[in-house]
Amino acid sequence: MSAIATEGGSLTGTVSRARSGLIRQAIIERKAAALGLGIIVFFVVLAVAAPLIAPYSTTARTCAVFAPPSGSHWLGCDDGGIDMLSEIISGGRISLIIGFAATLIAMLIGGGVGILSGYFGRWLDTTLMRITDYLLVIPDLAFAMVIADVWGPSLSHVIGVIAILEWATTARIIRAQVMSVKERVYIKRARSIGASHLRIIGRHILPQVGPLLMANTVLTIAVAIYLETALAFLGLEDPTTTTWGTILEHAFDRAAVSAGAWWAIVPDGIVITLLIMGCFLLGQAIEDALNPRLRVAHLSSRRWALRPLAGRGPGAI
Amino acid sequence: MRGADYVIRRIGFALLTIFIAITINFFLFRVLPGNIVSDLARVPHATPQLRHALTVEFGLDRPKWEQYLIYLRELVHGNMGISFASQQPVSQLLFNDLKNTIPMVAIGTLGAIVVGIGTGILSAWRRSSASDHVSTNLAIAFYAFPTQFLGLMLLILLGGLLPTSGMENPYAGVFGPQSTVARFQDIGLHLILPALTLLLTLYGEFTLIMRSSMLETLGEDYVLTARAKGLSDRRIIARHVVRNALLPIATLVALSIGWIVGGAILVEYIFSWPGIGQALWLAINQRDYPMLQGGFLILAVSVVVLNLLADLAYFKLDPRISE
Amino acid sequence: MSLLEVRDLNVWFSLPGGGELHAVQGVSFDLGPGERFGLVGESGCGKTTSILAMMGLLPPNASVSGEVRLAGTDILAGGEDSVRPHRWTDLAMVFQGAMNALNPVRNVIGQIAEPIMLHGSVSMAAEGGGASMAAEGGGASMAAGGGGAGRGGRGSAAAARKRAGELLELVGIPAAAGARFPHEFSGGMRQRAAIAMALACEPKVLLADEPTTALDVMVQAQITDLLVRLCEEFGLALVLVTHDLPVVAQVCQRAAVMYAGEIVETGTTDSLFHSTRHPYTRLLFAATPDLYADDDVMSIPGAPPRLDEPVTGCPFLPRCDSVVDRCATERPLLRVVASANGAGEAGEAVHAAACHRDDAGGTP
Ligand SMILES: Nc1ncnc2c1ncn2[C@@H]1O[C@H](COP(=O)(O)OP(=O)(O)O)[C@@H](O)[C@H]1O
Ligand code: SF4
Ligand SMILES: [Mg+2]
Repeated sequence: MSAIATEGGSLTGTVSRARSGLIRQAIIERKAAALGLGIIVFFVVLAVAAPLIAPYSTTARTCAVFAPPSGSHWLGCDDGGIDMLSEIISGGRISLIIGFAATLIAMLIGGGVGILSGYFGRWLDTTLMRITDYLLVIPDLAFAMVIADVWGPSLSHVIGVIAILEWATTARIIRAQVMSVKERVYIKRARSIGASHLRIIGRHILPQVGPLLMANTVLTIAVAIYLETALAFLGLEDPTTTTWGTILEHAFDRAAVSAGAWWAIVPDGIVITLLIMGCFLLGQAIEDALNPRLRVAHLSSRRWALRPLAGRGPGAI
Repeated sequence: MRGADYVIRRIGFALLTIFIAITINFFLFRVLPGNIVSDLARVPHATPQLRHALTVEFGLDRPKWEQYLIYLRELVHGNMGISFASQQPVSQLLFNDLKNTIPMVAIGTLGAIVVGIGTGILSAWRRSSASDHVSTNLAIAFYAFPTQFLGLMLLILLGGLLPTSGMENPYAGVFGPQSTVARFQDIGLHLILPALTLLLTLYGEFTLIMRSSMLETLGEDYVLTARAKGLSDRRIIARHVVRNALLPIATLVALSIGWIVGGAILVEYIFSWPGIGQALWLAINQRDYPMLQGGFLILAVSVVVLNLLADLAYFKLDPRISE
Repeated sequence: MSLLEVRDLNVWFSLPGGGELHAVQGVSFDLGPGERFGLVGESGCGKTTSILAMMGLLPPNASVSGEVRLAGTDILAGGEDSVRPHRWTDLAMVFQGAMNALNPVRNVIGQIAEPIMLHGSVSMAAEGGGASMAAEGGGASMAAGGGGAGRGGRGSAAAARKRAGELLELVGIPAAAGARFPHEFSGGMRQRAAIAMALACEPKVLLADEPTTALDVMVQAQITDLLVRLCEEFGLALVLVTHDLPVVAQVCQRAAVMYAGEIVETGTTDSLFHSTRHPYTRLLFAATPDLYADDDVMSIPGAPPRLDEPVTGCPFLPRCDSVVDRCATERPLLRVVASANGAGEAGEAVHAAACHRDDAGGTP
């Protein structure tokens, strides 16, 4: 019995090793994936090292109101005379914490629900899927606004709201994968010899959905950061913290546009865009690697070519 | 008829979702800690008479389950309560807001769909060419641009040329009557920036999905059959590729309606467009909970209804769905 | 003069990671009017690529050389533009995998009527103008290059659909069923519909790529019979690509065996089956599965050579059971082994093979 079980186990082992190898290969081979990973790593390092790197305080005045970029303040200053570069570096810290924490919770819920739903099926599946149906059609931002307002603005509430909103897509995707994986022979065999559900899920199912969950995690980080900045922009985040979202809110609120202070808006907008783009590129590349579509187009603006050959003309054979 | 079952099932599903939305809406506002609607102390400028009227109308002195039934009954009659801020019926206020939101969002979204599908088709057709690379990278960039950043950029770049706030020039009617044509021109000008922001924020995703869907379809055997039949490229694309490739787009539109609404809220906030998103934001800032509750419900119901329409469109496009 | 002459056809695919795959290597054969020709070989040996090349249907990563002469003119000479006028009016095709050859979101009859509306149909012209079918047919093919002006009934949707309905009846499907969508048809019906579609513009040559693969055995036999009947009825020439050697014996007058992109043996079916020369062909016959086995099971030990690297010597060498010295150094060329006037004599070739072993004076 144990022989069969280990055989199943080792089979999963090879498959999942092959799959994670696939991800590594995707990152090495695809420029887009490497670029995405590079961007994410860059911002994470920046966030971790923020207190060391930020040149000025983010609370004390260090220059004139809306002072334009200069040698001492590379990205200029905001309406309160606070250095923009320092604000962006420290703001990234909170934005990333919100994005990563919300994503982590969303992945735990989404992965858990997806696996339970797909593995056990029946009424559990039906119930859980009705809930995801609701979350999938609900307007994200409006819902987040209502909840953030009802709960009151605080860091943990924003994380909670985003997590609640973003697990459903992942649950759907994981569920579909689990439903196909659980029909595989070695899992059926493991079940027939009496392996416990916990063991089957832990040893056989998890390794199979792992890479997919990873692609989803990266994509969800992008959505979480997007939502964070949107909520902050609408003034639904703790007004005393500085995040990439509140920086834009401040600038808009204090009429940076009419003051011509583009530096209070553009650099912050660019870092948000870059991080979201990085997540998208990496997540997409992992998905493509897991699900390669190598089909040749039968029709394209380019055509097959005619190649002259020595033997062309009458007389061959 | 083909798939009458399917249609009925989708409608039933939509109704169920609306019912869930209503229920969650009720719990969100009255049962969760905070009790914001029943907490009349939070009603600004409320006279004792108004408080009494509200208590009676919503049965705030009754048990929760009875309040729920009253809430349902009132909703069925189109009563969403009275706005704390303006003391007017919420349903009437929201109806006006919706009337302003729909044209702006419709123009922005349809524009995004048209631009996204068009560039997606061209990109796939010229796969790996320079124009494909440019169009795909632009699409990814616009997809990643946060809506509010895009809106602010347009404010900075085009703010001098176009109206940046509201739906009409507030002084237009002051010095004499304004003709209908002039009024529509004015609204049209005001509409450009918000609709353009929405278009740019949405189109990238449509481009990317249309491109990959086209590439998938261009590899299908029936495309080879069409070529073998001697059809021209244009005809093959029009009659055998685009329609099939559009199927995932119908699903995508359905799934991103909630997303579109989110974009619309940000856009209305930035450009002070007097629509439902702006109303939602104002309601939060004025602690006008009946408006907030009503506005959220309207948005949720709109999304469910639009979703249903997208489902039915998919059904119409794909004869294989019959179940 | 033959109806169709394929001369020294070569196809290369450029590969995404760089490099090139030489999928078809100097294929040549002739096809007379109404003649049925079989093309057999293992999966991946270049059969599909060869017949796609003949209609100019290859994907953009392909380059082609060689000639495909239709009634004496090389239709490949001008690339895509010079082949297109001949598609479906002169050369039509029944594809591998009946499943996906029809567009799932359009009804069947519309897809059959589509080329009729575009190119017209000889029979419709004959009905309309009262001209004799044969005369009109000849005229039509000449005029096809000039826009198909010789074909009548063009553009009339109702007439095209009526004709499409007749074609469906001809292949044994009630015309009314044409209003249905492909997914509502069984595999066999879909393949019949695909055959009806191929006949729409009354071509002279039908290229059929494994038309019976993925169908069950009973249906396979019906489809094969249908093809033969229609070819005889309309004087159609047929190139039949198949795995199924018995079917070739039953359907075709002549055949060619392909290996690794080349024709390694060709001749009349009779001669090919009864005086087999090439070791590969012999193994192929030996490996032919029984009637009920899966189509793809045609196992000969070993694997064909990679086509993206040049081969010295005989490509079949690693799998061959009768190697001689020259095999490793010199590539065998197709050589006439029997002609109408007897083995080795000048005259019409009836049998050729590419194997050193059979060279004059070679080891027996
Ligand atoms: N578009 C393509 N790009 C690269 N290689 C291809 C392409 N199409 C076919 N090939 C290769 O060409 C060879 C011949 O394929 P094919 O003609 O389909 O064989 P058959 O029809 O005999 O099974 C195979 O090795 C196949 O992998
Ligand atoms: S040439 Fe040599 S290796 Fe090739 S088939 Fe003939 S005998 Fe075998
Ligand atoms: Mg083939």
